Amino acid sequence: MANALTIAKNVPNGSLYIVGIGDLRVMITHEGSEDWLAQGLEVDYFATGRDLENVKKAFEIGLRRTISEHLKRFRHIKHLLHPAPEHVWADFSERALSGNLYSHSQISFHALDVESSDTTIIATTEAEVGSTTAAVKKRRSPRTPAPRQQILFPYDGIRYLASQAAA
Amino acid sequence: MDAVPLNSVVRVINEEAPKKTGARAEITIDGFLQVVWKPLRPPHIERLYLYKIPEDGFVRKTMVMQIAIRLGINPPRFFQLEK
Repeated sequence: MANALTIAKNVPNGSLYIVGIGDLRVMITHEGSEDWLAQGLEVDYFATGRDLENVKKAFEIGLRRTISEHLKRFRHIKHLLHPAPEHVWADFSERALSGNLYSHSQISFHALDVESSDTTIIATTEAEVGSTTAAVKKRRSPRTPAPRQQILFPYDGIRYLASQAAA
Repeated sequence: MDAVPLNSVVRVINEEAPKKTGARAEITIDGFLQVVWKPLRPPHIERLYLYKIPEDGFVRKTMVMQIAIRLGINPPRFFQLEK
């Protein structure tokens, strides 16, 4: 079950938001010569890319931009928390036994209507579940809030399920 | 054809999506494809997504198919424009 949290603070001339979406399962598929597809399960967001890393990056960037647009339009992300269609879940059930699971976490910072609107990824983590070679990456923008928010991140992360068509 | 120009995708969505969904597509200033619609089936909560498009400005078939499914557009409508 995915979790989502939004922390908002009103400031002169605008609002600041810190948004975390975690424990989100993402199924990554690649059929034949087609592009890679990353499809969220608890959140019906998808992205395409030319390879595994590219599709993960497209998912991360696209989800962040989508969150930002929801905040601008609705001032919340409740409308984003809509699960994938049934056919996606059915496909996931079939692939779950043979695919590779990844975990990815993301916190984003959104400044709306402030002097210069800004959207920044505060931190991301990514790890292959069930592997001793888990890769974790973190980065922080110099313009983002103190690292204390990272410590407070309450989610396990986004879980990627990657599978490739049999030869 | 495995990809469709972004402008064509926007045009097809705005012309072909069921009118009841109020679906609208546009290209954001930073080059994302933005799609907004209200599903015909409940809950009728407005859906809003931004998709990252490759730098060459072509939307790949994989993404076109996913968008078509969600908006109720016949996929060939996107590709017929390229013939």
